[in-house]
Amino acid sequence: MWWSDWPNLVKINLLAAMLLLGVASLLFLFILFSRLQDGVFYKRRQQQGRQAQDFITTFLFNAEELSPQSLEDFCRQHLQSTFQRQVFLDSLLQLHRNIIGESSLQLRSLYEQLGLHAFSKSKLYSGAWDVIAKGIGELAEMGMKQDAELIRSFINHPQAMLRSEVQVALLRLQNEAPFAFLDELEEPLMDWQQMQLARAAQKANLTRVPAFRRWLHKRQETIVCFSIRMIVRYGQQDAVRDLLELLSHPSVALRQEVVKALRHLEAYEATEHLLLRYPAETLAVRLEILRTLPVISGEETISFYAGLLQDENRSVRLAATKALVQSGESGKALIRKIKDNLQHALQPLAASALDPRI
Amino acid sequence: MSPLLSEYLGATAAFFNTLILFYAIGIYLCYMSLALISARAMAIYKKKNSFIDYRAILSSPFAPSVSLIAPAYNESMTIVDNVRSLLTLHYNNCEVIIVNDGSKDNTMELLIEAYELEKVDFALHELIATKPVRGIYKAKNPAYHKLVVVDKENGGKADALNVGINVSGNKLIACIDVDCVLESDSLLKLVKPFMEEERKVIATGGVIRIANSCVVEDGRLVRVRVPDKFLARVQVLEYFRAFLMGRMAWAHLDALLLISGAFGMFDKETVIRAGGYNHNTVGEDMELLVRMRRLMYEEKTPCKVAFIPDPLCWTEAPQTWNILKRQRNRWTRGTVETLWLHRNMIFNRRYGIIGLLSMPLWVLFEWLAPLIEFFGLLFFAGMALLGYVNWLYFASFMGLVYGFAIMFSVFAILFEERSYQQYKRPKDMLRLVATALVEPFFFHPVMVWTAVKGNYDLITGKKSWGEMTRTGFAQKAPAPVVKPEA
Repeated sequence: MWWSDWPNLVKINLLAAMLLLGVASLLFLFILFSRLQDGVFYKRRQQQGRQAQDFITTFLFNAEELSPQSLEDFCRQHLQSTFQRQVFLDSLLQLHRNIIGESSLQLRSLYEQLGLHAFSKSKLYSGAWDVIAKGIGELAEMGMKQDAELIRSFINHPQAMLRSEVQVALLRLQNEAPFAFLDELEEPLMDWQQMQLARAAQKANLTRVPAFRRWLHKRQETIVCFSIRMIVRYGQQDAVRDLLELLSHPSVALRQEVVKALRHLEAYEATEHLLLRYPAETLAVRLEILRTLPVISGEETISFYAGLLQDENRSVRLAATKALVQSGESGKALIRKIKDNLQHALQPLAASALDPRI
Repeated sequence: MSPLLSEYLGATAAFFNTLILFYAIGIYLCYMSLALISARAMAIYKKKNSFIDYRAILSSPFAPSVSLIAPAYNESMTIVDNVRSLLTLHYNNCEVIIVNDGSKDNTMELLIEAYELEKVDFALHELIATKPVRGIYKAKNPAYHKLVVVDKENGGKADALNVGINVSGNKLIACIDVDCVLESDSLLKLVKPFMEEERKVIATGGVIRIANSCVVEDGRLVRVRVPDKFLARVQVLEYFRAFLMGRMAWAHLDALLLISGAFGMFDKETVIRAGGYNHNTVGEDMELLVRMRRLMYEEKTPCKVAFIPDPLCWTEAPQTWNILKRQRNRWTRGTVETLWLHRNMIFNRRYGIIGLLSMPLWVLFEWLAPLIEFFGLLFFAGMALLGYVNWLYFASFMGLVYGFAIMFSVFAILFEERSYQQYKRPKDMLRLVATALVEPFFFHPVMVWTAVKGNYDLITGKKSWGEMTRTGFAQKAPAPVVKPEA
């Protein structure tokens, strides 16, 4: 061959170059093919979705037109493959999210009659966490209370996203004790999950809100933190005593959360406790205390703030200045005096604290 | 020429041939490994993201507060619209801090007039040392209550960002370029890692996209288009490769060293403890992140730097060779400065994967690659003059380089297609593929030269940023004329 005299390195280079260009061409063809496939898939989905909507509308508003036989026929013709079932189910779920009352019950009945309940439930036996999470979401949306125990078995699953789905599902399905899963939860309840739960609780219009102080002594700090936040959200004043006990918790973040909660609950009985805790606290908690005291107490704490105006930490001095401004006329007068004295070391802080736009 | 010298030159040429070949193979293997890791990371991200409703953050009191810091220097052409766009971002607990870095034009006056600003008695706490602040302004109109404008003496981007950090009252800070167009949900997406990770998250970064030829209306991107100009189009490919295939993988390996200065979110406390942005480098974004990571390693605090592959921020790429060269020159200097400042981290076990993998690879492939390429070409030219070039080998090696470049670019396009498919029209995709075919001939050599020049400028003490002139975004296209039906 004419290339047989070429050095091996040249041959290898050329072979590799051709291989790479070949791969590039294949990738390009794959891009074209996947675009085409996406288009076909999209159209099929649209068509299936339209069929599903037509059928559901007929079922809801012209039920007399549908005999038990027609349900079976629809199942046989249009719900054969997983793809068809999923498209139908997605349409059903979307509609269910937007309606309540009798129609919602009818949709649940259709969900069961068409075997879609079993379809959703089967996902819970999958090995992939995302499939399980999808199944759980579907069961929760359709209010399948009978599956709550099965869903609960995933409460400590290693995948956080799945745990979040489980928590929201249990909250929706277990109206009697919507947060009972917190007893079993051992994994952390991160801010993101807490937010999802709080949102789900708000949407679910819970009739039985538990006393969250029940979980204030859990070992998992994130659960305690969530409980504190929910105590504030539902204004559970009777938890103040338990919150005061948490002021000596080893976690700084948690103590900070407790002080914040006492502020939002306007727990005046916490004043003395906070004043006592102040000297031993970290800077972050001290600042939180200085934000809280003016909200829960009156002029009796003015001397405490005034003493802090000479603190070595600038943030503390500013917080004390602000606290004085919020503590009634005498505190405000003191700060005004400082503001008017341009030579005073605290003049900029006083001016800032008195400016309502900041 | 003596036979001994001739033999010596021949052997040297052969040695360098082999060396360069192995170096090239090393780079290719590294890039391909990163691409594969990126593909896996992207799949995981997409799977997780399918369960997320970002609107939950909007109304939640659990959502952390964020300060958005945008330095502005001589931005009078666009500042009013850009600030309006920032004020309409979807995020409740957010303040927008615009830092006028001693603009020579009327940027400050325009802001005062447009947003009814007045000076306030803000007690500024100088946590990071900066140039003097002339005044801090808030809006009289409650509609703009989120807005804070700081007027300061000129000190450069890093200094302006540091002032913004000093003014900020929130735990998270998002630093952006004021002329970028952000997706309305970009803050929601950047905040999420801070809320969901058990480890301390010190920073999150997002993908930067090229907005040239895209249609922007009222500070919002309304239509995505592939840039009309070749130079901007090549940068689209470049950004795909860098963000979707590079940074995504580095973040997955927990070894990300750079969050683009155009848009990133940081834990303020860590930024302050690390000392804020460095005024003495033009690569302040990379340097800050490296310093923050270094601090965490030294304090033995487990931390994470997250990366969001969604398109969050759109920016105008340079459209002329001169501006592009200035930008790349600065990037080179910034990279080298950072690597040099933190050279004792390289191959240092104390800094984990950053010291053992990330930084050595940055030195080998980001810093040295263009230099090796340039000096390799010089060596080749010398050998060619002396008649010691094996032209067949040279052609085959160039074929290999070209083959890899094309394959990698098409792979990057495939990434974009299977992840976000921002360019919907088939024509756009074909234009990108066509651009990939010619990029190695026209774009790459200029980039190599710019990197060499950047190294030279650094050695000779050049410190300037170089002026960046922008042409502005395309306005909304006129509605198509529809013929009345007959």
